[in-house]
Amino acid sequence: MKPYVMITGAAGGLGKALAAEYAERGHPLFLTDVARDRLETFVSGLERLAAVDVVSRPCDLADERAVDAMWSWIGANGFVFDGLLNVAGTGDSGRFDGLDVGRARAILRVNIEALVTMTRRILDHRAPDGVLRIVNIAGLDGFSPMPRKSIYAASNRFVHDFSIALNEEMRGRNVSVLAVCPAGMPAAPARVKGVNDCPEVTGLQTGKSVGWVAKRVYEQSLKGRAVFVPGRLNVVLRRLSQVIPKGTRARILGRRRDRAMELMRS
Amino acid sequence: MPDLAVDRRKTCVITGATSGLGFEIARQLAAAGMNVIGVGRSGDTCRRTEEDLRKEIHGPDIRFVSSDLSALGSVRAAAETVKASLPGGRLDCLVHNAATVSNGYIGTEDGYELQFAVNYLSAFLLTRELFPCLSKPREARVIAVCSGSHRGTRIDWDDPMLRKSYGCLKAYKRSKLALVLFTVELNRRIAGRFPIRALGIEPGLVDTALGEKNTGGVVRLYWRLRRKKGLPPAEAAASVVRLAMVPSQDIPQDYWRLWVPADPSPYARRVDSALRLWQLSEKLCGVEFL
Repeated sequence: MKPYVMITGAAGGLGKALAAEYAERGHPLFLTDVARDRLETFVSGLERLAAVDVVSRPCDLADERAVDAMWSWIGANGFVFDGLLNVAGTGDSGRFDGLDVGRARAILRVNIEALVTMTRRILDHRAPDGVLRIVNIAGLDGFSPMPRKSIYAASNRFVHDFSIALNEEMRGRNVSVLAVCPAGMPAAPARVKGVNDCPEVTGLQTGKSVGWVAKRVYEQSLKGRAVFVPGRLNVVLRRLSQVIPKGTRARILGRRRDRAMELMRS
Repeated sequence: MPDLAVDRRKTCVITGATSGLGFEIARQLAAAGMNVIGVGRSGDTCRRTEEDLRKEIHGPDIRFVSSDLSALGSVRAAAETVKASLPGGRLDCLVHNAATVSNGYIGTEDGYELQFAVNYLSAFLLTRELFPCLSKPREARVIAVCSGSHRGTRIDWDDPMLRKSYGCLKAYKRSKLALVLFTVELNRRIAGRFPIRALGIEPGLVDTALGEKNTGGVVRLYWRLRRKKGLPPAEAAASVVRLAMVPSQDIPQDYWRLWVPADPSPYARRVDSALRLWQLSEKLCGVEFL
């Protein structure tokens, strides 16, 4: 069986762009997303666009049993993989004391637990005698503590550090792990509106097009890089974040976010 | 407004009919006595616009159908609703006016680029779905609201939806170029076979909010300043209405800039490009057309 590339969160903005990029380059795809209808519609469009084999299976990554059931199904059907793109992610926005506990747990389950599970499982189902390329979407938010997005930013930090460590651990074993750290990408109408109406939130300058990012993610993964920050300005922001003390950064970002939320309300 | 006798059985479908140019086209056609079916994105706005027009204009049948033209499934559903509303299943005129711009690359639910999907692909699919109805009257029209911005652009066949090199204006121009190529190719395919004629019209700069809805920063500012120099929508709509209503023998050309006959760009007249786009569109929509 020809190895597949698995993409989680495949019916979202970046997931769709990555699926299109990998399909165009001839990779058979195994796509999963929590939204069954959106996934099915997207797969129909993708199959018309690119002549590759696309398998899809809806799965709620916040549900441990659903994830296990998907992997049992994968095992039973003999799928093997040469790529995993952990794109699925969810986030908080607002004060921590206003956040529902269940929601907080779900963020951790999708962004951290599911990502670790998928990464661990793919190693057992990798194609024999080939390179396995793992791509984890970590987000630029992971470089600094972010008030009002504290869990999301911290989970991104986990993904970032986990990916770099695993990439090092797997050196010489034909496995590469790339941490991708994009700024907020305007990939849905509401997101575009948010960026347009309130540039303070993510910034018109830092957000890159998902298609542009997807192309470069593919290339960077092929080169076996450990970290990829899309966009020159974002590279500068990342470097700056490393010289300013974390407490100071958190204060600056917290004030900026408060101001942005006020602007949005008005 | 052209002074024309209108056959009261005639029906025209107009996309993007709840605001700007499309609303004016719908209003003027209804005022001239044509039955009108408007297509708009928001169900609420469609209902409101339908009520307003019915209060203002008595006589012709005025209906609105809501549809998200970025989604192929929604385009098909709208076509079915339209077909069910057509007396005798007959459609006389289809005006492709709906358009959008977005300064961020947005993948539609089918995974296609938003501007390409709304501004062009929905027109291709809607024409295909309504083609049997357009074939029923003695003569029918398909009118595409094009744009002069298609000049100087080409389709990048390696990346026709600009996924890798997206730019707001670049994508808008390409989608409008696709619409012109479609009009040219449609005429080539139906000539002598069907009593249908495809016409393209450039309304020029019109004072609408098109460029402000999904843009920000410099693009929005530029559009706000620029639109002030544009024609009032009612004035631009009168040219489209004229093309929809005058007898075919009085329309010497298939492409117009307002009231004046014009030529699309040399690229937009290339048969090889039009054919390739047609085949791509069939593939993307999962259909065969003509």
